[in-house]
Amino acid sequence: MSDRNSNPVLNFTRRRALSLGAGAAAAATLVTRPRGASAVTVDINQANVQPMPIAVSDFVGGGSGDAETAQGVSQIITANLRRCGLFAPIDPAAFLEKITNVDAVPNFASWRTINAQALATGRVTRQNDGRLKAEFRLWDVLAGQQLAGQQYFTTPDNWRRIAHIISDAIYERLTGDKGYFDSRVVFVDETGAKERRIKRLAIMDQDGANVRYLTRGDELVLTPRFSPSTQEITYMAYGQGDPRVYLLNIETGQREVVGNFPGMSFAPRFSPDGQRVVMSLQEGSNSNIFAMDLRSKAMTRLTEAAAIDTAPSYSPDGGRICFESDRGGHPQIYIMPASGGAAQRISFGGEGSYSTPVWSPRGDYIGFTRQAGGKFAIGVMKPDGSGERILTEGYHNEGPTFAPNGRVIMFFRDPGGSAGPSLFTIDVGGRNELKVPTPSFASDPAWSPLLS
Amino acid sequence: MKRSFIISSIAHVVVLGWGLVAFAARPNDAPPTEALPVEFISANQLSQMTNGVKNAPKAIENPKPLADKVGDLKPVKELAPKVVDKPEIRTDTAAAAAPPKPEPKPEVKPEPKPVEKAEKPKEPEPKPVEKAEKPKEPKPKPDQVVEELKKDEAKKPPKKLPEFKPDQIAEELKKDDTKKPRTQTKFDANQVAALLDHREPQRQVATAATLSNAASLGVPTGNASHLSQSELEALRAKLISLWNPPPAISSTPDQYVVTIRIRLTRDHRLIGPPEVLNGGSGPLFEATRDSAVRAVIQGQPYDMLSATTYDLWKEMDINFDPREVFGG
Repeated sequence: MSDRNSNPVLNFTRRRALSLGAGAAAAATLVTRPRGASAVTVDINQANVQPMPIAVSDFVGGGSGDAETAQGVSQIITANLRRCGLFAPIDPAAFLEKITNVDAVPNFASWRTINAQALATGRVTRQNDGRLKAEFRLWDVLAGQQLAGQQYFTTPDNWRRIAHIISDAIYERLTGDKGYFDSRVVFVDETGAKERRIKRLAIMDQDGANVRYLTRGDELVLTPRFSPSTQEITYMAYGQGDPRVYLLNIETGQREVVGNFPGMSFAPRFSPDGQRVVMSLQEGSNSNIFAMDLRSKAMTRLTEAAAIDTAPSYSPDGGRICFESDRGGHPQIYIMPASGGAAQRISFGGEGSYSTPVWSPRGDYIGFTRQAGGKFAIGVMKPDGSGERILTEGYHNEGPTFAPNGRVIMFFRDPGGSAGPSLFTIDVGGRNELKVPTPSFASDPAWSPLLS
Repeated sequence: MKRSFIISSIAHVVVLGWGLVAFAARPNDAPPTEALPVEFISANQLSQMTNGVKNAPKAIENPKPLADKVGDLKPVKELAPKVVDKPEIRTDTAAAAAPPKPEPKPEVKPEPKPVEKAEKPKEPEPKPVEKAEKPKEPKPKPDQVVEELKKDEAKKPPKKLPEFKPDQIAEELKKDDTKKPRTQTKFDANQVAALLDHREPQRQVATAATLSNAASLGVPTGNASHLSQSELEALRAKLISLWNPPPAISSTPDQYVVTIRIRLTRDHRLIGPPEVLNGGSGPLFEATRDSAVRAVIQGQPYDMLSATTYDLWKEMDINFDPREVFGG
């Protein structure tokens, strides 16, 4: 897998082709087909997976004064597509045709010349009622067809979100997968000297724009998590006394303590239906996992071990929970039914300890932090523990969180020394590691579900 | 003592030094062998290749030779009589003891064997008398050309005949000469008829007691009309380099195999849009299908395909199978 990490443009199967060799060649053998089929059948069983060249032409301003917004929209789309790693947006300086009329069929030959495979065009117009209308068309340059076309209406100050929604539409049509651009990230913003770090909850768009602070910084905050269904986050805060799990409405700013227990509560996370919060409660020198129903406030004990059980995370169907426990000596990842019961260890990747498991919204992977040999790595494994793959490794990497489509992981990295942590994204294949712009140091990211 | 020690030392050094050189392991120089393209095929594919032709008739119970015409079986003539006895080749003195026998084949020119020239120095006595007689012998040749030739020959023998043994050999040569006119040297258009080969034609209608049209089915493994493996590999390599399937299909790639039929012009370009043969639905199938169509369109022109096999590649089905791409 290391060869996948190094090169964003890669032939997935180069190595496999070598190892399979004979089989692959044999599969190309000509086969005589029965009547009704063509005489020659060719099997293509390898591919060249690489970012797709796409041209995003400057969106056209529908009226005077709309040009700037229109250009901003196309720039956001370009940046989104580039960041996700599946597209290679072409430098607009290379464009041979300037799109002025969005409703006309573009001159495909001139876009083929610059090797574009897809072309996005669009128009942004301020309506008489003050709303903003944004239209886009997605063209298949090679086939000479329109692949998608939509128009959206919104308030003018929401123009960035329109750009994200169009980005998602392009992404979905070309990759066949759900997008994730119209989403937000909550994180812990860190300012000040290392000894007296001020930590505030903050929220931003997934591309780092529109940062907004949710707490004032007079208490230490950790592990914020999004509700999958409401505009709420849950997090842990050290205020006066023991650390507690809180629930915060990001629209109203209203907050409340989750439950009322002696001792500290930490590592909260919502269930997929948003009806429950699962978290750890301190019990002497041990901690166990409990789930609390948010409406009835009823607590359910899920583990009862003489060990530290923490960092629970639901599977997307809500049927199982993965968590971290040191019941075997070192912290490892276990899976148990959502109602509690027998837990099964899934992390067996040699030396080292595994922590902060998080289940992908797709259900196909569990992300984790692995500590081994003095290094912290971010990795993924399948829910049965197989297919473990380290995505990035270094002095300190921690806190993986999945994008809503499960294709990208965000985490934070602390380089050590006097510097502070920053947020990074990497795709689940281990490629395309990118820093997320934040106003200052940042840690503990948590990705929201899609907003729309 | 010291001296013998020195001598012994020197002797040892010399012997060991010689041994080092003499017994030094020589590099095992294997000449580089040319890489032989080898293709592994499964038993299934082998059986498909050796399958033969589907509409071929079954093996005939009592196979008969092909017969176009009812008639008597003609005896097969031996076109060239077998060589029964070859003249012994004499290179030295032994030749004198055993003179070469005359050639038994009527068609073979009785020209002296060059080997026999070696005998020349040993029989230095030409017999001019015999040669002089030669033209006098009665010759039953009907035409002038031959007569002329004979005259020519009469001039030649003094040079050649001395090579041969006297008596028998010369006699034999003369007999041979009388049988074979040497018409090659001159050409007279008026005498063409005489030059024609009057032998029976060799190609004859196959005759037998009954008609039979059972022609051979050919070799079951013969596939001369297939596209060559190198053409196919070049085609595959091109499409592999161009196919960029969406990574999202990696979890269930078996659901996204796309088969595309393409039709090509003689100048290796697509006729019309590629035809997707299998159905499917959902955004992932659409994205995979589009990636395959894009690859096929980008692959133009398919000039790795030879014009001589156009009938084979004018229509092709291409399976884009992501199972191995994301199988690991």
